[in-house]
Amino acid sequence: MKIIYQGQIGAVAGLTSEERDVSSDTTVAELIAEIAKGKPAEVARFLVDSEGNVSKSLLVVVDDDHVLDYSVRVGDARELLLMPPMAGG
Amino acid sequence: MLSDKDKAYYAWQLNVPGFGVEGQEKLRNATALVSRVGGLGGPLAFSLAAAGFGKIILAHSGELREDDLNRQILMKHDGLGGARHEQAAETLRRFNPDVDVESVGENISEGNVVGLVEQADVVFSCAPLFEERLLMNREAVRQKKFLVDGAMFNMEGQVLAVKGGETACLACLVDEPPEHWQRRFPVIGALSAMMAQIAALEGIKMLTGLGESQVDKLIHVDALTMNMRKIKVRRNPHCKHCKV
Repeated sequence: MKIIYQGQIGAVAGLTSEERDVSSDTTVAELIAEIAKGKPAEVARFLVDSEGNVSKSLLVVVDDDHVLDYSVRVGDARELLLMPPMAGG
Repeated sequence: MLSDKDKAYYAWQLNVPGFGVEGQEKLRNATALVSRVGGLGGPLAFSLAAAGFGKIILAHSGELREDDLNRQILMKHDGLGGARHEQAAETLRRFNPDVDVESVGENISEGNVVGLVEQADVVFSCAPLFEERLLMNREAVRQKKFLVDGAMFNMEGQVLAVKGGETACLACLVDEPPEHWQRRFPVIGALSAMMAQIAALEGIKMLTGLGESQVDKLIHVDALTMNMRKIKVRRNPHCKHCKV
């Protein structure tokens, strides 16, 4: 599965995307928590809160569809896009 | 009715299929609120003036600084230290004297948002702070106005078009200022201007009915690759502003 990091996450991580092996029965929340575990704290803080839950201000997009329910399984999705909201004007 | 002068002035866009005299009349009778008029709101307001909006209200506080000039194209170098809203308004009036331009030397706040949104048919949300954006979103939803939210960071930008109370709004995506957002953000002026033009077009389309308004979609542009995504968004049943 392609994991895409946009906005501040991509800038801080110095990485715009990576490929991961993801089981189809993994939930979106589990996948984001797993990704956060492998990242430095300055990246992980955009992904999860202090209790390890998906950050309230993270935009989570699966195959160009904004996800509100993180308990859904990724199934055969091709892409997960993670992006903090932006307000540059 | 369009005047003969207007028909001559806007002749090139009157020929756009689906726009025509009817579309021009809608713009002529429309008022746009633009907050603020920096790298995004400046070129956006310029295009609204060129398109022939009847009235444009600009809201922006503060004085022009040297480091504004890589992107704030309504300003002038010899205006450094001067009020930004006055310079922006002067540029627009000189460009198109038939547009009624009103400038307000304040940023959007709880104290002025209700009255400013009430005057507008469409709100263009271009402020660098979520606090201002969410105020405009709340009022646009409550007053059932059109709103176009444009934003950027680095070489990425996004636009969300909203029909207040009918389609997904900004608060459906983010309902409070994110902890990690910083007022100063990296940007090249051309990226701001590009997103401004997408936002201006979405506003014009919603007002005139031209084409397909990109509501319920977050348009995201990565200018490093020139990839454009249209992310499907939906109304959040727990949204603080528009809960279904």
